[in-house]
Amino acid sequence: MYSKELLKGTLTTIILNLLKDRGRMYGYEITQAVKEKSTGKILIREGSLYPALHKMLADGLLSTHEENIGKRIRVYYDLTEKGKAELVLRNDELFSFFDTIKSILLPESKIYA
Amino acid sequence: MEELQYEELFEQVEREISSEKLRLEIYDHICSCIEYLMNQGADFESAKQKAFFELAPKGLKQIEKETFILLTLTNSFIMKKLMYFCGFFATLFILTGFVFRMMHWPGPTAFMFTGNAFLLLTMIFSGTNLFMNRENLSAVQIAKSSIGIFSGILISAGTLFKIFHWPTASIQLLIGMSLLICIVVPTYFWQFYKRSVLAS
Repeated sequence: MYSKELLKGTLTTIILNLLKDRGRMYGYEITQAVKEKSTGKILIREGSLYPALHKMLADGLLSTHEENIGKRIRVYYDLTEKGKAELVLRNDELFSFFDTIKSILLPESKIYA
Repeated sequence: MEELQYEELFEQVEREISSEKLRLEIYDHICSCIEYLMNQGADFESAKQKAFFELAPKGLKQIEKETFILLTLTNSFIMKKLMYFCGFFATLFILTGFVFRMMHWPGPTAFMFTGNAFLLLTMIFSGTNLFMNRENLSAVQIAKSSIGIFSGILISAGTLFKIFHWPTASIQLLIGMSLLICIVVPTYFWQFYKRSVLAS
């Protein structure tokens, strides 16, 4: 399992990508999808999911839709147009970051091999 | 799950989360997780323990606290910028007005008016900033800052009232100055003294 610090900077990008791939999702569904896609290496816990979702909602990246499920209400999240644009920017930034980190951590011979 | 177990869960979530929207989501999350685990063969108590631990090992209150911090961070930053901006102009105009009055040059009242209007704004922004950060401060820190802000509001408003010859100006100034002289100034100087003693 990866450390909380590593996950912190990428959680928004992970959520945006999941919503783009799967359409609207609710909180528990997001945690399960992340767990499944990362083969259990990434577990969203320590209360980081909902603060991130609410921040993204406040920033206009997500919209919500409520549905009655039996005797409780389920809040579904979906990408807004702003969220879709943000996703492209964040993906570019993250991939460029991976390349930079690779070039710092790996010996030059391995990068160009 | 049985009806009573749903009620028990809702009450537990309701006790710890005050925001309604967040409460609904956390309740749904916990219920979904327990239902999944119970379908896998777990009993209610162990599924409940696992669900709560997986979502928030430090307690549900932590989720609400982190959400609040994330949502107010940008506002708090803007509020602080406004506070320092107004504070700078308040000091500038009040000191200039003081110099003009001492030298018997024309227009000191205009400087005093502008300076005190900026001081009043500074105090309003400081109060809002204090309210937004109240979760991260101790009761003593909140009390000290509240008294300081309250005395600042009374002094700046009292001076503005005095300039316009409106009623209650003197009482506002008197209370504001009393708080400043008897509580705010001694408390802050005592704090600075303690810090310098600890640092040496």
